[in-house]
This record gives sequence, structure tokens and C-alpha cells, in this order.
Amino acid sequence: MTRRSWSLRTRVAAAILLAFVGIAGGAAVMGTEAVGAVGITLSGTRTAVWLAALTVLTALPIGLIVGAMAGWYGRRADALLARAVEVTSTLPIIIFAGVVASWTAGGTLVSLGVCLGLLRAVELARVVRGEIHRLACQDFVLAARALGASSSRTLLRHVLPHCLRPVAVNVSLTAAYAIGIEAMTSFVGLREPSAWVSWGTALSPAQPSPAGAALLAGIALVTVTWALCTVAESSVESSDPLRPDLRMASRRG
Amino acid sequence: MRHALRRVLWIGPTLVLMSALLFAFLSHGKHHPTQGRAPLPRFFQPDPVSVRQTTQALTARIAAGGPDADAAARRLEKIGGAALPHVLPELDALPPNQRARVALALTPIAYRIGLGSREELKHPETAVLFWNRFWQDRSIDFRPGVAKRAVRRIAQRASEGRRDDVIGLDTYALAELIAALPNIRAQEHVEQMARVTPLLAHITGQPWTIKPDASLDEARSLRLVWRQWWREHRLDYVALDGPERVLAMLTETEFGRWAENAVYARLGANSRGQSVLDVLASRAPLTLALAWLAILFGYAGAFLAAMAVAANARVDRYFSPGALMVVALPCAVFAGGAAHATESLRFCVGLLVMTLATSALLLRYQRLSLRNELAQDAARTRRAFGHSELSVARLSSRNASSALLSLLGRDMPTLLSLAFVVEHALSLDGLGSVTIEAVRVGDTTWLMAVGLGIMAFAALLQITSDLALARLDPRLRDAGEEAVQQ
Repeated sequence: MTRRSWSLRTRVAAAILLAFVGIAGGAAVMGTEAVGAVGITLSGTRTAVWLAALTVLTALPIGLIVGAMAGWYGRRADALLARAVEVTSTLPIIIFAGVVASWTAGGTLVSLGVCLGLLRAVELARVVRGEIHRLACQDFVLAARALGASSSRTLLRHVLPHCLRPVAVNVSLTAAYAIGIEAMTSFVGLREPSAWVSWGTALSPAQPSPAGAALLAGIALVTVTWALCTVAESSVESSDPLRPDLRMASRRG
Repeated sequence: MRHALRRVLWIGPTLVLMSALLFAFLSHGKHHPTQGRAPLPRFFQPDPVSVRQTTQALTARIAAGGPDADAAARRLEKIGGAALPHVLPELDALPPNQRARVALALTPIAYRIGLGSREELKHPETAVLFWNRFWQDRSIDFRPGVAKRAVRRIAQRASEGRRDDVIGLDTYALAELIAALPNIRAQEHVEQMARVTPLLAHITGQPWTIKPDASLDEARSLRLVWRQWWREHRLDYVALDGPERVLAMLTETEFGRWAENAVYARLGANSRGQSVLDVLASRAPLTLALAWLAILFGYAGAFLAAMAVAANARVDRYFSPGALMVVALPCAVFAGGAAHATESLRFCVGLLVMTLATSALLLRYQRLSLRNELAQDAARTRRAFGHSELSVARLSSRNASSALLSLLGRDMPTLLSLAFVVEHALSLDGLGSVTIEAVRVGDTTWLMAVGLGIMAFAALLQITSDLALARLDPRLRDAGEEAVQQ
């Protein structure tokens, strides 16, 4: 068994993410007014973390269930998922996000988070399906079946746990995606600026914001997105058997 | 190839379905096309109301003589000659006082078609007598064949007598008059428009006419205006029977109106009243140039950079985090710094930003794919024959590039979205600023055109990339052929 440690870069990225979640939690508990550059950035952090969490919480269960159904059980669910992937991948995201952000009924940030989550759920389901297809013919799955495990038990106890790494990668990218899309729609002014405070609004030259707010918001946006992408990339690389240091380690035994 | 052809043929039905879904999604917001007009159901009209039902309801209100009788009389006057076949045969069945009210309400129509004197139509008894006589003499004229012949004659050559024949039918001839507006291809069609449009203007009270020496473009736009008006008001003048009524259940809806405009009126009009097709034709070249060049340079950059990082671990150590940083950068924001430069410079900055973003995104996939290829036996053999790492990476890149090709169709919508934001930040006159404005004001017509256009484009690109993949990798081609045979 090879020890797969995270690099310094990945640890820094993970620490940054934890710090941002902490800041967002603190801002939510203590109540931050969006006044001044720091206040706007802190409120933007809260918005970003909240939206990312909402998107992930929507995408994760749906993506897992649909992906597992399509990959494990069947043709119809599989065909349906294939069509959904085709449709969502051709959807121009700026129109989608802009229209959802312009809806006013019932908490716009919630609608945006849920809609982005539904969109990403299709992508997540595609990943889970692919992973299940790959795992279905592995020896340990055949062994579980040979020992008499039912189909659902094999899926839940033996197959799904092995899909968690690609799911984790996808979750990181989903969070980065949600934050990026929200910043983009706010930057081009596709929603009411008063609806919520965002890094994208602070970056927009069309919106009046205090001195330094754009710089702080820009740094925060780049840092969080970089950290999320780095964690995702590191997860992929740490599971890559062709990684040079792992090859050396395996040769050493 | 058969598989690709089948997929191309499926694009049409898929787009029809997608247009309905997209319409439902886009018209869900606070802005939708029903604003300022009588509200229509979105997808299904269970009971389409045509001139027959409208006229019967108006006649009943006028006959009852209640407070809304005046408003009903004004509406009946607007409907005009098209109402007569539904009102006059029933006139005798009404009680005398109600009959008199209806006959008086029809008086303005008689003036418009140039019949009857003021004295004759002023008194209830003489008005009833006038309309009874009129229907006895002229009911034979209110038939589709007669209207068609009268309009065809005026469309061929104008004369006082022919003009009077059409005016005598009033709005009953509208459907034929609209059908007589020719598809403008030559000056003779402009002259025909000049003979028909004054009659349309006289009957409907609209000011849209044209001179015989007007240009072809003027005639085309006027034809579009009249046809657009007719699509909106058709059911005020036409009765629906049989299949037409069933069809109207689908067409007399918001979605049906949009589809009709998309097919017959150059994709309809945007929120500024401009033809969507014209705006697309004038602005799409810049956006497409930006997207295509970004794809070209972005793919080339990712291809070359992946070779460099795969061949040299030290380059990889510094290059890959850099690429991640570029992915994380809100590039469009930084592009905004060049918003006041000349247009060509702004285009170059936009292209640079999009190329960087595309390259950085693709590099991650190409790098992993190339790394897999470098671990294959073929690459080891090349190393054993003394090839340098760079040479091995170059030779393995062809097989590794299947990852890049498979992303071509999938990335296009994202790339176009990025192009819209970059255009907005740099104030470039592409599709971006119009689309962002359309999202803000809820311009469903424009968003539908852009959304469906991008979907069709992405689908075609996906098929193209699949064909290219099959050409690149024979295993995929064989698998595809087997699937088709099964």
C-alpha cells in the first residue's frame, strides 16, 4: 500500500478553503454589514460559501442517485442521462444563470444555487455512471456477487464507496463553478445589485463600490477558485498510478 | 458516417423539443411576451376564439343595451365587414328593439364601405331595413372565392371599380389581401405592394403604405410589418373551422406565436423592434471570430504546452500551477482595463484573454492524457530507440489529443458565454452586449434565437468532433460501426 500524501501546495489550498469557510461562518454568526471594502469582501465571502454549499448540496444527492441508477441498473435511466448530459452541455450558461438570477420570487440566491446544482448534478451523474461502469467488472465486485450479495447491497457497500474520489473532485469543481458563475452574472449586472452582496458586484466598474473593494474581492475570488481547483487537481493526481513519485515508491516496494 | 448522419437528422426534432423547454424556462421570469397584449396561454389554447365567437358575444352585449354596449359597438366597428356574415343572418331573429340597436351599431361599417346615406342609417327602422336589403343583395359576395377573385384583380391592375369591389368587402377581404402581399424579388412586386397596401391601410386604419418606386428593402420590411400585424390580429377577422381550429389550439399561444414569428418573420423582433435575424447577422461575425480564433489558438497552445510539461518535470512543476491560476483568474475583469482602447486593440485583448482561458482549461486534460500515452509501450520503445523526451511527447501527442477533440463540442457553449462577458467588459459590438441586455429586460425572442443557435452549433460541433475522433482513433470507429450494426 502506497502512502499518498498531499503536497504543500494542496495543504495550503485546503487551509485557505477552511479559512474562507471559517470567515463565512463568522460573518454569518456575527452579522456583517456590507460597508467598506472589508465589509463587502466579508459579505461576498459569505455569499460565495453559501452559494457553493447550496449548489453542492443540491448536486451531490441527485448526481449520486441518478448516476448510480444509470450506471448500475439500466438502459432507460442510462439513455435518459445521456440525453440530459447532451442538453445541459449545450445550454449557454450565461443565459441560464442570468435568467435564474433575474427571478425575484422566493430568495434569488437559493434559486440560483438550486438551479446551478441541478445543472451540475447531471455532470456529477455522468462521472458516477462512468465510474460504476468501470468498477462493475472488477474482481471484488464479481466476488461480492459470487458470495450472494444482492444487487443493491453490492452497489451500496462495494461499488459506491469506490466512486467517492472522483465525486470529491467533482464537488470541488462544482463549488468553484458556482462561485465563478455567480461572480460572472453579478459582474455583468444580470441581477438586482441589492439582492445580495457579491465579489462580482465589487469587481464591476458599473457598480459604485468603496476604494479597494475591487482589489480585495478580486484577490478573494482568485484565491478561493485556485484553492478549489488545486484540491481537485491534487485529488486526481494522488490517485494517478502513473504519477512519477508513486511509480518510484511502488518500485521500492 | 451513418451514425453521424442519423445524429444530424435528430438535431431537428431535438431542437423543437428543446425550444419548448427553453421557452418555458425563459418565459417563467417576470418579463414575458404577453406584456402589453391580451394574455395568451403559454403552450395550449383549449378554446381559440375567432371572429364568429367574438361577434356573437358583441352582438349580445349590444342587443342587451347595457353600460358596455358602446364599447362593444366600437369593437364591432373595428371588426367591420368580417363580422357581417355572422351578424346579419341572425338579425331577424332578434326582438325589434334589440335588432334596432344592432343595426345602428353597424352604421359606421356601412359608411366605411361607402354604402347608405346618413338619413337612411340614422333612424332605427330604416337602418334595419337597410341591412336586411344589404344582406339580400350582397350575401353572395361574402364568400372566400369572391374575396379571392376581387383581391387578385386589384393585385394585377388597379382601377376604381376593382378598388370598390374590395372596399365593399371591408375586413372580410383582409386574409386575401395579406396573402396577396408578394415575396419581394423584383420591382414588379413592389408595384403590387403599392396597389394592395393602400387598401389594407384604408380598411384597418393603419398608416403603412408604400410608393411604386420604393426600394426592394423598403417593400420587404413593409411586408414583414403587415404580416406581423396579421399574425397578431388574424382571429379578429377569420372564423376557425375543423382542422384550422385544432391547429389554432397550438398556434394561438405564446409559444405558437414565437414559432410563427421565428419561421415567417426573420426570427421575430427583439425588445427594440429590430429583426432578430438582422441583428444576429450584423453582430454574430465578431463573436464567432472571437470564439473560433480562441479555439484555434487555445487548442494549439494547450497542445504545445502539454508536450513541454510532459517532456520536462521541472517545467511541469511550475507550469501546471500557473495554468490553474489562469483558470482561477476572472480574466474578463482584467480585460476591462482596455475598455477605452481602439476597437482592434480591444478585440486583440479579448482574444488574448479567451485564448489564455481556453488553453489553461484544456492543458489540464491534455497533460493527463499525454501522461497516460507516455506510459504506453509505444513510447517506451521510442525511448529505447534513443528518441529524446520531447520527441517522444511529440509523437505521442496525436493519440493523446483525443481528449481535446472530445471537448470541442462540449466547450463551445461555455466559450461563447465567456465571449459574451469579454465583449461586455471590452464594449465590443458582438452578440454579448445584446444578449446581456436581453437577459436584463427579459427579451424572450432574442434569448430563444441565441440559445437555440448555440445549441444547434454545439450539437453540430459535437458530431464533427466525434467524426474527427473516429478518424484519429480506429478503435472508436470500429466500435461505432458495431453499434450501428447492432
